[in-house]
Amino acid sequence: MIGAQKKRGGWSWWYLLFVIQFAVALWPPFYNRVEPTLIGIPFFYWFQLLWVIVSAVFTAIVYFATSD
Amino acid sequence: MPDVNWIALGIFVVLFGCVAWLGFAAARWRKGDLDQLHEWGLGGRRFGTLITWFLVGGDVYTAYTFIAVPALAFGAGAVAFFAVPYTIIIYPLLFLVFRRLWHVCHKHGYITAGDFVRGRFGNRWLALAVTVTGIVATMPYIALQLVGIQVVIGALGISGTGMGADLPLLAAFVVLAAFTYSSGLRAPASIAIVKDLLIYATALVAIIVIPIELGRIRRALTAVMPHWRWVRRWRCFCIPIRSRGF
Repeated sequence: MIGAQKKRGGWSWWYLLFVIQFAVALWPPFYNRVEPTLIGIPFFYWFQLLWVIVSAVFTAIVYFATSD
Repeated sequence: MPDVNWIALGIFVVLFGCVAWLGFAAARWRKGDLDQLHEWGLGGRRFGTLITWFLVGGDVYTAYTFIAVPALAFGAGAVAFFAVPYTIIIYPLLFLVFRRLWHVCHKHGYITAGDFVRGRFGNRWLALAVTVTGIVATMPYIALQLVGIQVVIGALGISGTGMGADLPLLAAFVVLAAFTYSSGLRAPASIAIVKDLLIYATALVAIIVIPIELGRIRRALTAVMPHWRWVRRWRCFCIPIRSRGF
């Protein structure tokens, strides 16, 4: 928290993780398919739900990597 | 009122009573001088991570999340899944903006968005414009919540005509406004804990009970009517919430 002043407006390469999840979420042709299904759930649905968890993990990684 | 669901109404009244009591009692929680704006509006900045987590969760996930989006999935199918990529995108954006905003506001003791704008840009008219925009932009949201309460009250089977139709809504809103006025942010923060626990219970029950019930309905319907086409729509509806295949 104290180091935040020194790094004001600073860039961290860890932010690129967010670009990955934005690209995945904003490009529906990538996941607009039925197969492979997971316990009967079409790919379209479970892939998006999976990325909710993945994006939470990414955010946690960026948080811990950029706050020191 | 012949259509009243008395069990649901009883649960609603008991929960509403508990929450209203909690809202007023919250004034004495982590007690501070409520005449000071940061005590009233920010809980004295003493909530900490866990309570803030409950508060944000209770504010972000509303009847919209639990009724409107599943209803859209039921009625229109996959298009309702816009809510999921939205979640994936919005949290990192808020993370990037709000973490900086929190640091700056914490350091300079800002309470409202107007305080921040005035301190950052040194222009009181800009601060006023931002504040007025904030209040005006909240109005449709409050209106939406009122419609939501009205739908809930209607679903309990309470109906009326003229002024009588709006009376339960009016009473609910007056109680809500009264405890918010007297307890400040401590009221929604304490209620958010109850609300989040209720949401967890609802989600758990939905995951367990709905697939079982729908399986039963589906078996019954397919026994009577093998090509019953609405079954497909039930499937669409329950895909987001079910945990196992049929």
